[in-house]
Parts: sequence; C-alpha cells; structure tokens
Amino acid sequence: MKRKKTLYLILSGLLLIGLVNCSPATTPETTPIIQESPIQEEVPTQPKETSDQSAMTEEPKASETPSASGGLTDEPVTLVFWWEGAAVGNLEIFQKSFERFQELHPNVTIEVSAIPFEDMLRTFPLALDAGTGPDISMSLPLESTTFPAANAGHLLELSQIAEERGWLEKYDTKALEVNNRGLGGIYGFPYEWTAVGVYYNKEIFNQLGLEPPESFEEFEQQLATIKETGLTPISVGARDGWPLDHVWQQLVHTNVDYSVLRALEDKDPTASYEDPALIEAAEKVLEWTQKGYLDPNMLSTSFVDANNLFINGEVAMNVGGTWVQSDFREAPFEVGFFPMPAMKPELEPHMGGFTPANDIVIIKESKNRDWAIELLDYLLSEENMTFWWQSGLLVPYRFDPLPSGKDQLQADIYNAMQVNGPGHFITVSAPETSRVLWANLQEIVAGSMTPEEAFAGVQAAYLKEVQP
Amino acid sequence: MPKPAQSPGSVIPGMRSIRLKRPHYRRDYYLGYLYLLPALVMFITFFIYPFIQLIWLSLHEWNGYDAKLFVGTLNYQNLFSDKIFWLAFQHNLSWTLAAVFFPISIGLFLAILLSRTPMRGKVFFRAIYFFPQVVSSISVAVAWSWIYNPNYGVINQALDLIRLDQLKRGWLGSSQFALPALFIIWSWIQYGFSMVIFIAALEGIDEVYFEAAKIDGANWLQQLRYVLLPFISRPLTTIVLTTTIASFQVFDLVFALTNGGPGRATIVIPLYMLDSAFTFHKIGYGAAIAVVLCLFIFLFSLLLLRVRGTFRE
Repeated sequence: MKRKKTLYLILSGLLLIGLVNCSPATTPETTPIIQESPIQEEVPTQPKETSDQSAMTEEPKASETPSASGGLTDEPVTLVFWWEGAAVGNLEIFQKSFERFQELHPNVTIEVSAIPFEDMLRTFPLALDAGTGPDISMSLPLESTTFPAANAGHLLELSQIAEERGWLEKYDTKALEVNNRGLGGIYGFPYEWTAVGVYYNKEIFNQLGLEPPESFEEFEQQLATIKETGLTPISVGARDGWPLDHVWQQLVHTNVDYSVLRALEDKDPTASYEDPALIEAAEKVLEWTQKGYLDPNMLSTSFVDANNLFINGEVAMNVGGTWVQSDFREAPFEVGFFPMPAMKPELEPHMGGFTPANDIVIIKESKNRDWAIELLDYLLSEENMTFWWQSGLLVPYRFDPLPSGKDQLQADIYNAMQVNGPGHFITVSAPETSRVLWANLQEIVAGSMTPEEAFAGVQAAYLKEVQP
Repeated sequence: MPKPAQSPGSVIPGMRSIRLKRPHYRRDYYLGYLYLLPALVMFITFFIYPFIQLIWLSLHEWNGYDAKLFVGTLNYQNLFSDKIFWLAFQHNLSWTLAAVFFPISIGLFLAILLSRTPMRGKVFFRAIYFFPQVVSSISVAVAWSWIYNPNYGVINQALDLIRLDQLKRGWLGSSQFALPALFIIWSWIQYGFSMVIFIAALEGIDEVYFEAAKIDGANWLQQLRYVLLPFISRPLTTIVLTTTIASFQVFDLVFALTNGGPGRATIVIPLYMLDSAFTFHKIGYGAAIAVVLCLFIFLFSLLLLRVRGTFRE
C-alpha cells in the first residue's frame, strides 16, 4: 500500500512538472504594425521591346567588395538560407549567386536548405517560434508565411536599411507594394515577378498554322482545331488541386472586375465568391472539360506529370506559372508563352497571377543579422540582378537599358507582363478558403457538383475564415 | 501451531516479508525500478509530455506565430460540427472495416500456404510477401502512381490488352475509385506483416491436434474453425488491434498520391489534422483533432480487448 502511494506520488509529480512546463511560450517582441516609413512610389519605366534574345547565361562579373557595415567582422560566419521553390533550375541560379558572395567574403559560408512548399508552411513558424530558424530566408508571400511572421515580430523591418543602401533606386517598388501591403513597412523583397499564362508548343502551332491568339474567341477556336487533330489541347495537373485553380483564375482575371478580386484578396467580408462572373469562369472550365479541351485524365495527373506531358509533346499547351520556364526550356521544341486572352476585353486588363514571388526576408532574431543584410544587399545589387535576368528570372528591376536576356521565351513572358498590370492570386490571403476552392473545382470537373453549389461552399468557407 | 501470516505475493506464507528483510533482496527489488527508469524517462519525454502538451494546445487558438489564446473547449465544439472532419472519420472507418477483413485474411491465407503446405521456396516467398513492409512508403507511392497512371500505367495497359478498355479510368482521379485504389496499396503493404505473425503462431501449433481432428473426420474448414483459429486467437487479436490503429493513422499514401482529392474523396483524419494545423494556421484545432483521434483509438482498443476477453470466457 505504501509502495502504491509512493508510485502515485512520483507519477503525480511528473505530471505536475509536465503541466508547469506547458506554460505559454514567450513571444518575441512584436513591432508595431503601423510604421512611419512609407514605401517609395515611382512610375515604372516603359518596357523595352526585346527581340531575338540570344541565350546568354553569364556569371556575375567581379566587382568592388561592398564596404562592411558595423557588426561585420572577419570571423568565420555561417549564414543559413532557406530556399523554397518548385523549379530546381532557380535553386541553381541562387547557388551561383551565393558562390559569388562567398568569393567576395571568404569568411562567410552560406548553408542552403531547400524546403518544399508544404514543409515551409509547417516548419517556418515553428522554427521561428523555437528560435531555430534561418538567418535569411525565402518566405511565402502574403498570408502564407510573410504576413503572420511579420505581424508576430519575427522579420526585420527593412525600410530604413533600404533607403540607406539605395535598394529602392532601381528595384520595382510595385512588387513591394503588393507583397508588403498592410504591414506598414518593408519586410520582404520579392526576388522575381511571377505570372501565370499559357505555354505553347511552337512546333505544333506551326504545323497547324496557328499564332498566339489575340482574342478569347480565337483562342477557343484554336482549342477546337487542336482537339480535332486528336491531340489534347491543354494539360492540367488537377490532382494537386492548385493547377486547376490556375486555369480558373486565368479566366477569372479576364472576366472579373479588378475591384472584386481586390476585395476578396483583402478579405473584405462583404465580398463574395458567389459573384456571377466568378461562377461564369468556373462554368467555362467545365465547358472546356466537357469538350475535351482540358486533359480528360487531369484529376489523376499531378503538376509534374502535366508538365512532362507538355515537355514530351503530348499536349499542345500548358497553363503554368513563369517559375517553371526553366523546366520547359528542357523541351525538345521551342516553347512560347502568351497571356490568356480576355473573356471580357472591356475590363481593365490584368494578367492572371501576375504577382511578386517569394519574399527574401531577414529574421530579426538572427545572430548574423549584419551579414544577412550584406547578403541581401548583394542579391539586390545591379550585378546580381543582371545575372538573374540573364539566367532567365523575371526580376522586378528597372534596368536601363534592358540587358539581353536568356532566350525568346523569357522575352515572350516579359512582353506579356508589360501588356497587363498586376493581377493576384485571390486565394493566397485565405488558405482555408483556397483548399475548399481547389476541392470544389475538382468536384465541378468530376461532375459531382454544379458551379453554383461549389461556390456556395467556397463562400461559406470564406466567410468563416474572414469572420472567425 | 498457528499458521504464519500469508504475505501477498508469496508462494510460501510469510516468505516475502522474510525476503525483504534481507538487504540484498531489498536492493534487487529497488534495482528493478532503476532498470526501468531509462525507458520510463524516454516514455515520459517522448510520449507523456508531448501528449500533455498536445491536450494543452488543443485548449488554445494559435497560428504558430502569435501568442496562444486560451479558448477552452471551443476547438472541440467546432470539431463536432465540422462536416469535413466527419467525412474524414467516415473514410477512416470504412478503411478500418475493410482493413480488418482484407489484409488480415490475405495474410492468414498466405501464412497457411507458407507453413502448412509442402512446397519449395517457402523462405523466398515469405521474403517476397514481406518486402513491401520494409520499403519506404513514399517509394511505394511513387511506384503505384505509375501503376495507376491513366496514360502509361500497367493496369490500364493490361485492360487494353485484354480488350476491356471500357474499364480504363484515372484511378486516383476518380472520386469513386480513388479511396479503394489507395486501400489496395495499403493492403499490399500490410498483409506481409499479418503473414509473418500468423506464420509464427501456426508453427507453434502441434501437428497432433490436426491429426486428431482428421481422425475425428474434420474437413479442412472444420480444422480451420475448431483447431487453427482458437490457437491463433491471441495473435489474431494483436493483428486486428495493430491493423486498426494503423488504418486510423494512414497518412503518407494519401498525402503523396491524392492529398485528400479529388474533391474530398480521400480525405482522412491525419491529413485533415495536418492541413488544419499548418496550412490553415490553426494549430490548436489540429491538436484537438489529434486528441479526439487518440481517444477514439484508445477506446476502440479497450473495446476490442474486452470483446476478446468475453469470447475467451
């Protein structure tokens, strides 16, 4: 009996220790959201026409070593950089930039961790909370990781440093406006513009006597023409959910007034996913599915498989983001790109998914903050931006003059972006709603939900998310 | 002469109290607890403490970045009215019911074949059928994604070959077939484990029981029912228990192959838990799902053991 009592006492003690240790985690010091440093606004320069771009990939040239700021020493330093991205080719470009930086600063070693999107969503907040995060990192834009991390005080506010270092002189501040909206300061520098459009197989188009369409009707006629040859017009990796969302949003961005999209992106509770124009875009997706314009096996096809179908020449087109251009360069045929023609040409044009990419952020708790700033300073330098441009990245940088790029594909994408203004991924700000949307779009093309039912569900999820 | 007092736990009355009075017995007694201590510390550190923390998190609202906000049982209240959770639960339940039958019966069948029949190459076949257990689940997922591929997959190509192309479909993209398709992969992994456990049990049965049954005129079905099954009832319970637990924890195949789609045709509780916690930034809600899942598995296991105990009586 005495032994039982002793045992119970020990177990209770252990339980008590466990409960005591489960105290609320101390949160990092939070900086006020509203800051006094406004983002510098400048009118972007007119785009230059690029033609016959020769494929050039140059490594950054040797330049003067940037002067060390306070806190920089010659002691060996390891900077941890977390990289996220779907295209392996882009990681290789970044690694070349890091190698160049390390040549300039031999005492600095940059350790890169490549983290997939889903893992970044999970590990980034926990690492920041535990103090085991990187020094400088890519951060998924808007509500994915940048906004919550900035609001929780984990990211270094960069306005003053940007002004002192002259980062904003040539950097396209429109990218900053989009990705730092509402934060009251600059917390992340997107390294690239991205957009979603239509990649096409130039060989197939030439065989069929087709040119990039100038109207929506012409585009639909081309889809019918391609279908008649027995070829699948467009591959979609609908199994992964978001690629089908891209197809829908391509139509949304050309069918819906920008103010509607902006309201949804700002999580305005009076905005509605049951807007008739949004449902009309979904009906168009269903119509294309029923006519066989979209791969009939798309619900079983992943994003990677869909890309491979395009690269293997088994489909004529792929609706994809500019971040996969480096993968499509592997295709044995010439690849072109055009923006989705407008369903409603009378609307102010905005290219679907034309947004800044991942932000490069500096972690406030980093012990190597000064070196992290130096690295960001180098990455935003004209030397590095030129290297990135010539490697094929669509950097938000106002070159004057525009240097020769990687190839015609990059030129096509750049020109497409100049025609339209920024559009957005309207569901990025509401992740739970986006998952419901992906699932319901799959249900629509599977025929198990009507567009009206599907968007009623999305609207319910949206209201629950924006009005907790 | 009065009988000595019966000490609890002693074979000979009074023996235990005599034993404990001797120093080296007392030392051995406490030494036993000392040997258990490292395992106990590990258990507490990696199970008890995280579990307590999980329960504590489930009582909070936390996006992973900001301070945690105590909300009491609000997460649980929301959970019980969450249609997606109950849909996932339904999928897991269907999976469990099928799991109790298919991989276990296939495992038993193979075990009987590979232990009670005179055939060559038993070791080879045992290794072959156990092999999926040792392969990483992601490798399995990649391989089967190719088998199920609507354009290049072996299944659709075989259907083409035997002129049954009207049966071809995108298996993982069909809301009707995606969940069974995933279950087939999972069964393929699981039956090897059942097989190995049953083989060990079957090889422990003395042949004399089967011979006696044959002499009494029992056919193979009666031998199975009255001789074999009673002898393997304990390992059978264990396998049913472990298979049930595994079926409620199924995650990797679903995540790798369908991510809960198409639509929500293959959503399962662990996947929904992950999405809630890390995609929707609702870690407290994800913790509540985890606690409910744990409780359910615990209660189900208790029920199973109780039912087995009733049968034994």
